[in-house]
Amino acid sequence: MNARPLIVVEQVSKRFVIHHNRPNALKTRVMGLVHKRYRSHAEEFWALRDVSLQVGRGESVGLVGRNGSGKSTLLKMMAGIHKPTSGRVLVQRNTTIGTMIELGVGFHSELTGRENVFLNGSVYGLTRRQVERIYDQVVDYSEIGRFIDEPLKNYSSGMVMRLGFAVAAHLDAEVLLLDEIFAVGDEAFQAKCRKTMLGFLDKGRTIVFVSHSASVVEEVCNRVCVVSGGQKVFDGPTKEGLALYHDLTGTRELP
Amino acid sequence: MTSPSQFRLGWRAVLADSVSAALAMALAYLLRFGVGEAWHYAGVGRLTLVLVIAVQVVAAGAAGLYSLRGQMMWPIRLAAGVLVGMLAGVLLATWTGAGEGVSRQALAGQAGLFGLVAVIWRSFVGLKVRQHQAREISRQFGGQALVVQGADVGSMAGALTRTWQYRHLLGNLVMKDLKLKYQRSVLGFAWSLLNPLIMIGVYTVAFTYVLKVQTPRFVFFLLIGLLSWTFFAGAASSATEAVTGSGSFLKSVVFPRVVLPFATVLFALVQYLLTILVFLPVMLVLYQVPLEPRMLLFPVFLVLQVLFIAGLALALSTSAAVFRDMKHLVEVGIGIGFWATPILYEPTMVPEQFRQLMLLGPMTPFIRAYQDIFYYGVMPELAIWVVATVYAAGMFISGLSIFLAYEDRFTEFV
Repeated sequence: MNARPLIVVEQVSKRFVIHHNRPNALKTRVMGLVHKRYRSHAEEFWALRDVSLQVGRGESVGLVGRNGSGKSTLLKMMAGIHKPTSGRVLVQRNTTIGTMIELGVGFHSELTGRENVFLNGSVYGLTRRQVERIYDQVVDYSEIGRFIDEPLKNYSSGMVMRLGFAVAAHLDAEVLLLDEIFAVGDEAFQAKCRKTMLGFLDKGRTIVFVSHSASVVEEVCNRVCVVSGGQKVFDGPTKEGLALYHDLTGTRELP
Repeated sequence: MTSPSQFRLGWRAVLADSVSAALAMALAYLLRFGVGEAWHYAGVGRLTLVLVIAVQVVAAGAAGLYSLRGQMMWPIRLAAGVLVGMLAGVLLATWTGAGEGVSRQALAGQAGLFGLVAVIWRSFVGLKVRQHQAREISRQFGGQALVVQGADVGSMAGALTRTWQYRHLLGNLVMKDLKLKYQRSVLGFAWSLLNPLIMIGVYTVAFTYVLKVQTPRFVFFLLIGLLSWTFFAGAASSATEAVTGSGSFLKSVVFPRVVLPFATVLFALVQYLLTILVFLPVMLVLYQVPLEPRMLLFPVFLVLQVLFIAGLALALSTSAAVFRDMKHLVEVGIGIGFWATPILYEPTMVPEQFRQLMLLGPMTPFIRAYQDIFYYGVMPELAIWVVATVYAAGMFISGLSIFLAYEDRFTEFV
């Protein structure tokens, strides 16, 4: 572990409240006076409980765990999308964090590939000029070719994802937070994605990434955190972490 | 040490509300009677007026505004308090025989103003609470090099500079909506320009040949107000979906959330400017209105109007995320507001005792300013300036405060 961490997660818990009957709706308020059935009742759900974690510069940390274990919530909390119910997330001052939770945010099927690249780039906070600078590389990388000036609705779903990943891959951020974005494109493209990730690490960038794909984690990450039931159950070398992950999911691969 | 949250609840809140009510009373009297007579009448009726203010604060207290329970619901409690206070005030005025100096019209106007001022100071203090908490947290946990994620939440200047950094996102969102609106239509952008021209023709036939309205150059008068109202109504109703309709944005990217309501306002503004660009020259030529330096006031009032609408959009987008019925309430409000604003009728057609108080309608000061500048060819009077400026500044600050206080919890609501 690094002496000077970039991201520090301190005893973070996150509670989601699931409301049955919306509590602030007029109907609930009025009808609630008439009959109990219409009254709002809330159910608490702790997505994370008391999780602490440090990420150092140049590290590549994989967050693994079963569906609903809370690993995506943890990633979103690091990004600042969710606010912790208790505990803190601290970030090194003036660190640029690139968040890729979903690919192609803001993509619209009626707009052309080109227009979507500019829109998507600005969603990540790039100026028009910055997008222009990376535009050619993005198009090359995405392998969309001449379709780039066609509306997105004429694309295959793989092409859309590839374009989304291409934009994300050209963000110039010191820390990349990635959520399960390797299920993109065909195998050749996935290999390209992995290569890009490794390229990031070579440049000294930091990656935190959520994945179900043990092979990708094994290739890219030098450290693994296993999350289960909203708690961190393991934090350490990739190999041991993945072994534990397989035990948890009951999918230990035969050697 | 007293934290701002205590200020929002206890005796200080009662005091702030009393001052708000008194200020609202003063402005309502000024609007009702004019500068010269307002003090005279207010002086004569002072006992009743003080009683009305007391009744309003008591009503707000009875609605639970000053108790700790259910602070989330304070806008509703405030509305209930203001409504009860207004009814009590008007009843009181009627009961005392509405003697000299006690004006029911002024009291009705005062209630609305009181509500507005109370919302403004509450939202501002609410934001201060959030800032205070965030600062406490960073002081406790942050060091020199580490900062708490989300510690900058709640700062107004911060929100505006971050919006500037994301100006290309704002522009792209507006361009996207414009492109989608006109996509695959043969005439494209020309529709925006054609629309007012067609309206001029239809209204001319309907109002000058069929309905035979007395007002001279009626279509000119009507469209000044109507186009401006359409801008307001379009922005307000789409603002209610600005946050709730952007779930995927909010849950997957980090960006200054204020961009979302700003984009809806800017989209409505661009369309308004396009129509105005066609409509104004045509009208000025058609009715042979000479160009005058006074018309340079148009951009001044436009800026005030945009500030007001932006503030309203911020408040509406937040409240619609928390309280889904807001969307429908806004639709109803727009329907009522249209008839409470002098668009289809001249301000002078309103009975004298209501004429100036009607300036308190949300769009009235701006629309009346435009009518004065272009149609009547006079300078907007002082009351219009005052109400327009107070509305623009108050609404923008309180709207931004409300938005920023809830911003980091949007992902839990949508």
